[in-house]
Amino acid sequence: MVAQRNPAPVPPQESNNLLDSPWLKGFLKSRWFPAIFTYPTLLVFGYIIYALLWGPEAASANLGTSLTWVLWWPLIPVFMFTMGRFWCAICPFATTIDLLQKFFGLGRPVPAFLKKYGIWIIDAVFIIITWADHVLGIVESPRGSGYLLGLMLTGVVVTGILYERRSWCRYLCFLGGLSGNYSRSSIVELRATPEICATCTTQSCYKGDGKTAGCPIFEFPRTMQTSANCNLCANCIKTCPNGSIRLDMRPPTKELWFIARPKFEESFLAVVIVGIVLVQNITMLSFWQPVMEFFMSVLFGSKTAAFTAVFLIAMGLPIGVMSAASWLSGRFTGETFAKNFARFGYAVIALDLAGHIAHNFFHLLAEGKSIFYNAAGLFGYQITGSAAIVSMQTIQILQFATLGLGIFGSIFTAYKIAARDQQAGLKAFWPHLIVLLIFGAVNLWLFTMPMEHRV
Amino acid sequence: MRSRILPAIPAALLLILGAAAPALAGGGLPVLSSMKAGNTEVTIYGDSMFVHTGTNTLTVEATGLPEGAAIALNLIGPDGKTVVVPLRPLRVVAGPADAHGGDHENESDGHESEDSGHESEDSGHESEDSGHESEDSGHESDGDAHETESTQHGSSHDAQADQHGDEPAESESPVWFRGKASVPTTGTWKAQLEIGGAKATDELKVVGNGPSPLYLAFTGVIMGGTITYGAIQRRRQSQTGRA
Repeated sequence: MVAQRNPAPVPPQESNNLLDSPWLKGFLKSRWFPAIFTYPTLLVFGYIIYALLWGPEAASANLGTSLTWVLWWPLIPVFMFTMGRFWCAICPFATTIDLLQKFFGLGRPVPAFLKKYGIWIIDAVFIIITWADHVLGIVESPRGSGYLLGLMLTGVVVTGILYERRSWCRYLCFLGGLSGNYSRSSIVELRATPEICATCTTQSCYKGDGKTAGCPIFEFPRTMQTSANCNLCANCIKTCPNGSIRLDMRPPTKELWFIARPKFEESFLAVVIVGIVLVQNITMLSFWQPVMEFFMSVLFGSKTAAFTAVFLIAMGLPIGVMSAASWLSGRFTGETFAKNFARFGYAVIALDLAGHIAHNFFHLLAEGKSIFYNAAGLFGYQITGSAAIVSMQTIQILQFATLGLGIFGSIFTAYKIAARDQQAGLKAFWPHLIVLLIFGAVNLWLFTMPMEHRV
Repeated sequence: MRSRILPAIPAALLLILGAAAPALAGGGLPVLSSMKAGNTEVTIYGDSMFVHTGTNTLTVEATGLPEGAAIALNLIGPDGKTVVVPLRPLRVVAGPADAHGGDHENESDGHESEDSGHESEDSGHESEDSGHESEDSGHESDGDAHETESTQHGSSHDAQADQHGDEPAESESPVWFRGKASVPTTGTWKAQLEIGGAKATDELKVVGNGPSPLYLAFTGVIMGGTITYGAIQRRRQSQTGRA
């Protein structure tokens, strides 16, 4: 049985502490961090909401759409890889919560059901939003995007006023769920030094020190083993009286190799994202229309029913394939399907992240100048031109290189996960290797297809 | 030898796969009106599906425009109110353009998913650069200074001031203009176009702008209600604390 096996010990951390730099440490401890980023971001967000709801209805003419879907959304996964969940520290929703809580917050404890089922709610919301994006039009419609952001803002205001800290960010935000998953493969990690924490009596990293609040998303750095719920807000760096906090550089995906308590729902989200990336890619390809026409012809001409059918297939396929691999792999290890799925599902995260970045290279680099043209229009400069920043060939080389690294990262992660189980050895690895190769090949093939612009 | 070849394989694969896949065009700008003034065919693009109350950015594509001819666009409301659209030549700053910033450089023939309005735009895009050149060539007689000003300041001269040349020659390439119009009321307006004395009019539907009032009311009531609830509860808590 699983409980009887001896996982290989986690290797000791090598110190590569960025806080050894007095300049960086001073900046993170100063009151200007992260305020220097949060308030400008809040202002831009305010403009984006205004532009999306009251600006031009054509996506190509709306600066809010360009800023959201051509700049921010493509850059988000790159930030997550390089800086973990730092975006969450400067997110306008988080700033809104902080501001509201100062004056109106009731600070009630987070309900138990949110703590228990929050990640499932995130999974469900993510799937529903992806579906709604295509059926109702969110990305290609400024109003649709505005409605989505407005609804999220409503959720942010309600949870921010009723519950303590940033409950929304931790338990309900679908972008937070995505960030949490991607941040596990990022190249930085914030951790406490156990030897120093062992003598600590204040626990101010969690509680706050009167001047600076405690961790806004309920993490206790002393026991924190994952970057999934650390937004690098630096509150703990400011409040720790003992200098226990480290900000280490680490090899990409390293955290995924040694997850102590894998959770099925987190792995499930990782596999769901494979389906979401698949849907996002397929719907932008030239063969999408014939596929839709076929499904419409068999589903009484309903576009919504046709899309829903394709959507369910695209979302269900990765889950089905991964489940089959987990069942097979579990036969070698003696694990249940769910336990094996939970352990190996994390391996997909690197491929998710790479697929997300590669897909959005297209939007950022082939449509990036639309931001400039639309911004110039605000100031009365009527200019236009090609929206491409670099050639399509350059974009594709970047896409394939990124995907290649993602596929390698996922396979290596699955290998390391399998290698931890000394008793079963690498037998458990092979089914997952095949699945990852299939996912990788499908992604590579999709990126050879023509893609549609967002704006 | 083998160790030298192995690292080259991924690079070779990248180069093979790097044969660029074409990009498909995005939504583009919606067509509001198509009309003909004299020999000039004009398409007016909006920044929304319909002209709306508030500020609209209108883009005019003129094909067969006599060289140096003035182009003027007015919107006339149901109550007779006239809104002048100050058109200025649209400046193309980089590569082939489509007046809305979409990149068609690598576009494939697969336009199945696009609307017909966008397809009609495409026919003009291929020769847009040359259209821009012909526009500039019209400035040559004004000397280099004018041309430089036009290039560096986003065509700050008025389109109507471009009349020069006694024998206007028609340009088959489309020429682009853009202007902002603030429309005060909804209803059926008229777009009146004047090109070198030739006039054309077309009806434009003007709709209200902004999000659904129901949506605003729904989110506003929830947010406002929660904030009010929070404020009342906080006040009660502080009063209880003082007592």
